[in-house]
Amino acid sequence: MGDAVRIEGLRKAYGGLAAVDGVELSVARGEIFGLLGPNGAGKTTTIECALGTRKPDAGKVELLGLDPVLDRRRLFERVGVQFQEAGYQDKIRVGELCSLTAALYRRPADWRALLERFGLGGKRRAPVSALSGGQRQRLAIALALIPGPELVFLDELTTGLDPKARREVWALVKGLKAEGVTVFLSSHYMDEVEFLCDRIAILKGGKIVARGSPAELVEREGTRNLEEAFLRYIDKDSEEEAV
Amino acid sequence: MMKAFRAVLATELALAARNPDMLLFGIAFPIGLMLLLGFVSVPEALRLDFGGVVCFGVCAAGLMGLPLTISDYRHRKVLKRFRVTPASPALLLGAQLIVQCAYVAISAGAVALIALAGFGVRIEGGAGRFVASFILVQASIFGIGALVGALSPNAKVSNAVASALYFPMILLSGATIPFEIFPRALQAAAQVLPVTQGIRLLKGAVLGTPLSELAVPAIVLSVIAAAAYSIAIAKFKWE
Repeated sequence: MGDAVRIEGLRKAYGGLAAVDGVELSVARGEIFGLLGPNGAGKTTTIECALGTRKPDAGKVELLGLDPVLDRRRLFERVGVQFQEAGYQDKIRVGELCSLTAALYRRPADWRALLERFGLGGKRRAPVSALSGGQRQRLAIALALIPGPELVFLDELTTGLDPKARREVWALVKGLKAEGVTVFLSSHYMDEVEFLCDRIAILKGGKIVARGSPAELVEREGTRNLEEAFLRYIDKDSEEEAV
Repeated sequence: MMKAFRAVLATELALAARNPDMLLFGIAFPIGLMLLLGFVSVPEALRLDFGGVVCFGVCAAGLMGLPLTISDYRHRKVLKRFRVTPASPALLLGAQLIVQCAYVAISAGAVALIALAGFGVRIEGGAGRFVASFILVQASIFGIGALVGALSPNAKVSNAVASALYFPMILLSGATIPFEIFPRALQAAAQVLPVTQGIRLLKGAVLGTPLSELAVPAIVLSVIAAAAYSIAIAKFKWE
């Protein structure tokens, strides 16, 4: 089996300004991969190009060996996505949103069981807007799992959560890996990335400036933890990739 | 695909039933208005009023409900979320179109029932001609709304443009206030509004005016509908 994610020579500019400038990435099956970078580094653009919701200026993307634009329908039977912005209708209830989502797939997972597992079993009649931040994030992950995916994209999944809720979400993501699901996540919390990710890449100004396992990056920079290593990478003037 | 569409439609209908704005403006208001006019108007005037009031729901659904929902779904990234599923965001737009048509059917059906059964309005041109005219009017007004929803960069613009179209169209075309009581100059100015042309067609059907006298509004509305849908589809912004 090939890689779960393959991105080659990805470029995207907005009004002449490069947001993503020659990104190369691959994520092996079963891995938790983290895309890191300060705000405006090009994380979201990279993910959107990978999913085919944004058209890159150049480059090639393959998810599970399929083209996200040409093979969209086939591919998204097997890929779950949690966007940073929720994307739900106003006034929709948790159960309605789940059953609607399940109806979009040929062989959906049992969404009731997913809600139970994510501690939302009692919230089926609740409007999504009435959920707490942590509950909403758990719901977002549950929705991303409804296709019964082999690959899941989680964009800044714990932004805005309190420490306890973040830990809960982490445990869920670890659980996905145990089931063999490949996870592609973006984050700017280094503790989260250090805890969750097998491999990471750091984006800066649309280019990847470092990649490896969190431990490798810490060792390479000789810092105490990933946060310090990250700050060194993004403060470096040179945009050459350290290998 | 059918399973997905049925589920989307069922959800959209359930959400629509929770929307007080549309229930009030799209359905309750035209019904109340028709009842009121029925009690205060002489039969000759009421026949003309009916042709206008029956369009009220079309304006509410087509010029407000449709574009505002489309831009809301774009703004909330609901359309975008559908793009990363095997389903198409076009399912949502299709379901919304049906929801808005349902508002129109309920509102126009109730208004017609009140006018015809309650106050004895007779459609001289025949029911078939009236329904055909109504469908053309609805197609063109929905086309304009779809165009606003398709092109608006954000909810604010959509709201402003929809309001700028909706209020003159319902107030000056004869959908709310009987057209015949306006001064001549205002009547002449209101002729540029597509709804005014649509109501001319409907009044013609009620009065049995020869079709040859109504070629201009019929052609104008057909051209508007064709142009609006073509541009809306070609230039639709998913994000």
